[in-house]
Amino acid sequence: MNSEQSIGNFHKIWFISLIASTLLVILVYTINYFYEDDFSIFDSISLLLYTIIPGILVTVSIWALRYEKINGVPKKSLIFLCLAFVCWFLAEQVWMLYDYVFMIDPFPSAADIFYISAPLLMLISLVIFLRPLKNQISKKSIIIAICISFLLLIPTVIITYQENNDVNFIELIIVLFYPIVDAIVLIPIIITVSLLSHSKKNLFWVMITLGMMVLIAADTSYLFLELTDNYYDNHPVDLLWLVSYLIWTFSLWYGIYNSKISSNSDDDLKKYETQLLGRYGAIAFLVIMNVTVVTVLLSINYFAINQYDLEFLDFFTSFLVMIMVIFSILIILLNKTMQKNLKQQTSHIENISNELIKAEKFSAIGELASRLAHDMRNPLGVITSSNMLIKKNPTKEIISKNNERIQRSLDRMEHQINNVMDFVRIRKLHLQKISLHKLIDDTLNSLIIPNGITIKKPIENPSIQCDVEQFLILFYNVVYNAIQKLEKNGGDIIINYEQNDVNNIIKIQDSGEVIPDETISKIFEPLFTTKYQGTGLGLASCKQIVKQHKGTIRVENNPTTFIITIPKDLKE
Amino acid sequence: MKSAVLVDDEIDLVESIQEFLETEDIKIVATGNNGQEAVELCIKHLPDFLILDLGMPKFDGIHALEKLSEKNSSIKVIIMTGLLDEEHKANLNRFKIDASFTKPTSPIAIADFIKNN
Repeated sequence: MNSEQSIGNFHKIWFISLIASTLLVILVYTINYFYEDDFSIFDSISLLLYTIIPGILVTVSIWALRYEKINGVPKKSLIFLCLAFVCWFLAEQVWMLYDYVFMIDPFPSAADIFYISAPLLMLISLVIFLRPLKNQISKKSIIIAICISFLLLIPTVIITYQENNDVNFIELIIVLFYPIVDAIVLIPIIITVSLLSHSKKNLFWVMITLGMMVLIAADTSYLFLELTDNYYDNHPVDLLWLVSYLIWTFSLWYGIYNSKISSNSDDDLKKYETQLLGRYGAIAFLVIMNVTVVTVLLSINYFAINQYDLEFLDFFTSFLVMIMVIFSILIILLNKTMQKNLKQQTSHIENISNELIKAEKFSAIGELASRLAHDMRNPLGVITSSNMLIKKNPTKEIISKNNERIQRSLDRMEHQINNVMDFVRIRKLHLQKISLHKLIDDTLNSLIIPNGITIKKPIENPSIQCDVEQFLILFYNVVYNAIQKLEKNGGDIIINYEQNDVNNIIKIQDSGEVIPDETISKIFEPLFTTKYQGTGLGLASCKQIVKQHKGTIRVENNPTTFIITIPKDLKE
Repeated sequence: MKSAVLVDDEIDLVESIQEFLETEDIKIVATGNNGQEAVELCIKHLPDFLILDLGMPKFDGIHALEKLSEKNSSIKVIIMTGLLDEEHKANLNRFKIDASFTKPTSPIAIADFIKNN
């Protein structure tokens, strides 16, 4: 399975699990209301959900912390997110402890500390995420965020204050803390959403902010219910909290999967992430929001006949419908902008890539032309001065000596041209069997071996299946390089043969200087050369030839040894 | 008789130019293959001229020019290079260069310059 398929499959599983688990939680809650027993089996299931779902969230967040890097998520930001999740988990546990074990409902309680700390930690996490991106945040989006935050803050604070003016000061402060903290957190959330819709597309943060929006909706609904004394344990509004915990768990799962994918799959991942966001992002958001809100409304309506003040129900329903409409419009607008920006950016990136490829090609051609020009000038210089020496003093000895120099220079020039042609021309393999000794002899016959250099052939003479013409180029280049190294001081070139069940292994070793560590990794790259003469294509051609033979070529130091491994059973 | 040190990494080129200049009564006191050798040979032999290639492995011609200018050398420098691009030209502006020739250099031109300077 290739990486593209596996990323695609992950996204399918991830998306289906998210929808399925959300629906499951909603189902448990909905069925719960059809039982009028004081403590039904569904009560205990929904109770368990408060431990299990936040518990899974905390576990997954701690698991996520183990990863060195989650794409697009600063480590510090992730730490604060995890702390926030831990706070919510603790808050839920403390709340349950009071409610079901001690059967009391104290206010303020330890749960309040955790409930208030959690969104503050989320705020810090978002600020850490947004800080390096501050240049991309427009003033307009900050103003819009502050306005929306005030829209939420002012009515909630006023109502909270009016309804609680009989309580003591500390209690009032704590009660007021909830809407204030939520309104403050809403600012970075809206900025993040606006940023994600413009440039930084990252599903992790989309889900985190989505979860937080659901949670703010839950907090606000709870506040109104509490103020009108209409909240009771396992109230449908609790669903919203559970849904936000679920969304966060899935965002962390997504982040972890993201960090596991190797860097070469990054492009595939980005492609799928963008596709997924474009196609399903808005729909998923609206489905989750609307299903949750409709379920809450239906459940409340069902109970209203028996228990609820209908006046309050009207107010609450219109409040929820208003939130639903605002969020839906916001998401549809954001999605449209995102799609438009995506199209623009894709075509912009394509243009830049094409320009880059062109520039790279021209730069490579320029580099090669300049190398060739430089390389040709040296042998031309030798030919010029040798020619003048012959003209000036045409004795037999001078002519013979300078003719040799001219011949060597012509060979050099031919070698440079062949190097370029060998690299540029990609030929089909014509496999035939040839003995190793014949290959080596033919290579050596085409080379001028200076005095002081000895070449030792292997004792073994196996028959090797290869493209003979290509292998002569391969051997020529490796041996030619070794000769150039040894030209000044002389030395040995030793060719060895080894084999295993599947491969022929040919080792070409020289007694020259070792290759420096900083260049050994680049030695097979095209246009790389440490010699001031040479196209930098010889060893690149060797790699190309060996690759065509489905083999490998590598180099080791102490002594310098080129190791060529070619499969015995080769097919054209 | 004027003396010179000749440094280039192309052995055949060094030998052929050396032989030609010697027929023109210019004494090549030593030859080398890289920038470091150029510096050492100049300090040792104190020639009138240094005929220097720029692109050489390990220590290039620029290295030799830097070291010699640090030592306030009065040796006249003749550059003989395969490629004199903008980068090299900018690099060379820092030093006192008496003549520069692009390869393939005519040894007659080098001999004439040495004789007249």
